Amino acid sequence: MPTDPAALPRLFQLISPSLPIGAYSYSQGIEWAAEAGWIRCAQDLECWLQGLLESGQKYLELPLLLRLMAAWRGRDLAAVHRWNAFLLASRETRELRLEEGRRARALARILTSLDDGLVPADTGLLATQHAAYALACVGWGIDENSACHGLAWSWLENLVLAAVKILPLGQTEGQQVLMRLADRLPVVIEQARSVADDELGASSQALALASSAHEAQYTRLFRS
Amino acid sequence: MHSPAPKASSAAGWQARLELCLRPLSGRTRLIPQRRLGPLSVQRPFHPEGACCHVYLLHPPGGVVGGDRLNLTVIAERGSEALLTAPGATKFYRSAGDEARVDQHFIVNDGARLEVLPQENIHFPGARLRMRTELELEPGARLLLWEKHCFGRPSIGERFDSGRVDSELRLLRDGQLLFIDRQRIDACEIDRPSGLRGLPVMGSLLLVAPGLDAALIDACRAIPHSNGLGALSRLDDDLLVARWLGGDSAAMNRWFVALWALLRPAALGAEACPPRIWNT
Repeated sequence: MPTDPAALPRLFQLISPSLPIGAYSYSQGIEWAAEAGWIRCAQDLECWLQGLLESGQKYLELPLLLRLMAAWRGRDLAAVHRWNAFLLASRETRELRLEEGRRARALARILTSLDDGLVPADTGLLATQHAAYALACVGWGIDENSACHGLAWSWLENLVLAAVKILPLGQTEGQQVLMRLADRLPVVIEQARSVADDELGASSQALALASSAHEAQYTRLFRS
Repeated sequence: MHSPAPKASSAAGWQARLELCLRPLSGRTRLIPQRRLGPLSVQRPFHPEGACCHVYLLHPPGGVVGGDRLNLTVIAERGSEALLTAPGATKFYRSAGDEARVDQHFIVNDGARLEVLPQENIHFPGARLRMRTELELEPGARLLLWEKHCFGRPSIGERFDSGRVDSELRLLRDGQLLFIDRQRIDACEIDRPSGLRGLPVMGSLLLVAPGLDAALIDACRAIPHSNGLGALSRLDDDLLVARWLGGDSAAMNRWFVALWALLRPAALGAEACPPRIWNT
């Protein structure tokens, strides 16, 4: 079912960088990758994010979002727990796990203050950001396709914003990268929709290394 | 590096199955073979350091091709101490179509200590492999495992320009999923800056044990590397994952052995005496 136009502003609010869940404080390894010389310019950033779009987003993030939305719609709370555990276990490093937990709690808090009836008493159900986001999408009538675009877009936007602060990269260049990567979203989302349960998951070795090394990076502005 | 000519692939490849049980008996851990089918076997186990049982796994001679299925199950019983390794790398040859499948299942009971330290997997261009490793731990089990991959043969400038390796590792303790590592490696992932960055050699080491304090992690981080990058993350108080990405297997092996030499005494309560087979 397509999203009711009245629900669209809800989606925009959910994915806005101004939603107070601290999204601006995570770089997911980009801070270390920049220091190591892995990411120096707009093109490096685009290739880095494109690689993650075609692996992690396609095989893990988006398929998990779809499963969590289905679980909430069907009120299958055991499935919500199961997919949360899967997603947390797939987070490759300590920082990425901490980030998942912090963002999930922050999103659950803001959802509670926005829509009191939406959030269940068992906060363990909202152990991941995806679970909280999926709950809001289902509760507010946002369809799967729009929800996928929203999640992937906000992931891209946050990391581009982080990179603009870290790299010698202008705001305009950042926006150009964002627009080019956004053009790839429909294809990635289409592919993510056909990922079967036994195909779920994709680690990225350089991301895992960058995130691990970031834990010991001497000067850090970002929490991941 | 030399290798025998790859054997012809057939729709019905090797069907190999090996089930082992490690059991403490009068001061030493004994290897109790449970079941064996096909060309997957072990050398006679030995005890170079007392109680701990060293076991050398022997993969099919001449390597693995599409259609082969290898299935290994190891049960480490309560109180057992064992180290599994192999005398050589496992070679996965070009497949004419079918996937090779390797399924490994390690069950580590409360109070048992298991080290799974195989040599690297060498994936020839065109190899197609689906590998599943399931680690099932009881509370109080200690485990150290590494998994190493070399894509193509960098020593002769050969790239893994076709084929696919899909390797998934799952760690469960007390039925709870603690860690999943799913590697989907093909020429695209090798070239991705977020993936293997054009490098042919990768590996990971996983340790589940209490006593992983910050000083130990710092000491591990101070191990020097060459021709590659190693980094580690303590995902939980008793779960450490170390990863490597580099240009050749020798550098990776040096780093992992140095890491093991620090972690074994600190977290597994045993001196690091490297199996002699690693030196040959």
